[in-house]
Amino acid sequence: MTPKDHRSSKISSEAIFATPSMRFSRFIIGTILCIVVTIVDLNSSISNKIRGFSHDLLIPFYLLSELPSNIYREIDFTLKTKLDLKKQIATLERQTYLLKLENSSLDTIRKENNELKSLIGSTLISNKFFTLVTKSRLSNNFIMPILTVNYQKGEEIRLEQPVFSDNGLIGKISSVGIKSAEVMLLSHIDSLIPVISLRTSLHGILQGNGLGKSGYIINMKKTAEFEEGELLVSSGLGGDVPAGYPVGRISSILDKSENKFLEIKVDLISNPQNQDLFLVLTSEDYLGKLK
Amino acid sequence: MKNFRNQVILLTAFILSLFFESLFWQGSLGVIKPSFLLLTFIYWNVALPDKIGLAYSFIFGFFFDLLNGNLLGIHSLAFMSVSFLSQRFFYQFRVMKKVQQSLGVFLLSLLVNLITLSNYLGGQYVAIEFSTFFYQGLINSFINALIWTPFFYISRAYRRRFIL
Repeated sequence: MTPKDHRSSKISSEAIFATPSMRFSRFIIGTILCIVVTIVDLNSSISNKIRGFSHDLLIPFYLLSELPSNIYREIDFTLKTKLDLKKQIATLERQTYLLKLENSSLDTIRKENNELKSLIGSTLISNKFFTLVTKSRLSNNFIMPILTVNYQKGEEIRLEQPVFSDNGLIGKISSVGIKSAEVMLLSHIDSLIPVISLRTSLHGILQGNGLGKSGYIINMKKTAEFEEGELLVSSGLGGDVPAGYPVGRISSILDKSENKFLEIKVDLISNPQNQDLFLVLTSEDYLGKLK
Repeated sequence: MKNFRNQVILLTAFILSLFFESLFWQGSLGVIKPSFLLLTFIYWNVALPDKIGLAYSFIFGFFFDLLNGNLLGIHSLAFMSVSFLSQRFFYQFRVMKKVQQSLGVFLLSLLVNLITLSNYLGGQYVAIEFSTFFYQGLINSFINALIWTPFFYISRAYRRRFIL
């Protein structure tokens, strides 16, 4: 019997009377190590470089963590009765007819639009400019939400490329791995996007405020005449994000006496929580064309 | 061999809690999401302090930061502090009533939330009010304290099942 076997922990798992606690010196060394890692990351953003690759390793883990919600969705889908589906088909058929009708009018507008665009040397958005990516995971950090997406190996995903859903802009690529990439969402508190209002044509910077919360237009003078309900689109300033993509809608404008600036809240249009497919603007030619 | 088996069982518990921690809670439910990994650290440090080292805090904190887009090292530091305090006071903690233990968990959770506030050092958070972080931290600590008792019994059943 080794001296270790005399420990009370070997006799009973309930009572351990001879266990030394963690040494204070070790705790101090560990603390210093953690602080050094944090400072290095704060100054050189090492995490952005390795995070993409770590997501590649963790893909099976993500698949598992998404399993409950996928199962719930599947069960919810299969539980729908035949009658519900029939009703849906009938509604969809009606909508299809309406859409066909609208499309016929849109075709005319598109033709006119094409003619206008050809005049200014531009073209309609082409598939080749975008890469389709699939959602892998949405982080639980609600103040600094990160969306992890998977893409086909070989696609040219790079840092700072804008990411879109079918509703509009959702964020920018913040870290890239071999088959995974991280997207810093518009709701991330570090996210700053130049926007322009459609009705009043005023420029501003939109900052995130956490997932599911309204963003803010920051540093806006009190003389600015934004309107509630106004649609904000990307302004294209800075050159990272193309102009004209919907970002959010102004939900409230507050003029507080204690603030130097207006407090403008913006409801973000895209919600990545309920979507699985996104588009990444991978071609710089497209941005070049817009310039 | 038995030591190796124990470490595997322990690691499984931590990986499971990391898994539950990673599950995404839709919409406003996310605010009341408990910190399973933190509770796991408290439980195992109190139950088997000789089997949990600093490496656990560092590695799982590191992974947690990677998963959630935090500054690296923040959660390692938070879990390390919790591990140290749990191990330092585990004699006192064990004999406490569950309500008293929950209060301890509440205070430890507050400490973790305070440490993780430094996560937001790097940004320019003009629009963010301190109260946002404060209330979120307070709610999270309260929820952790609330589920401590069931969590304790589940973890204890797991430990006894595998005779650690």
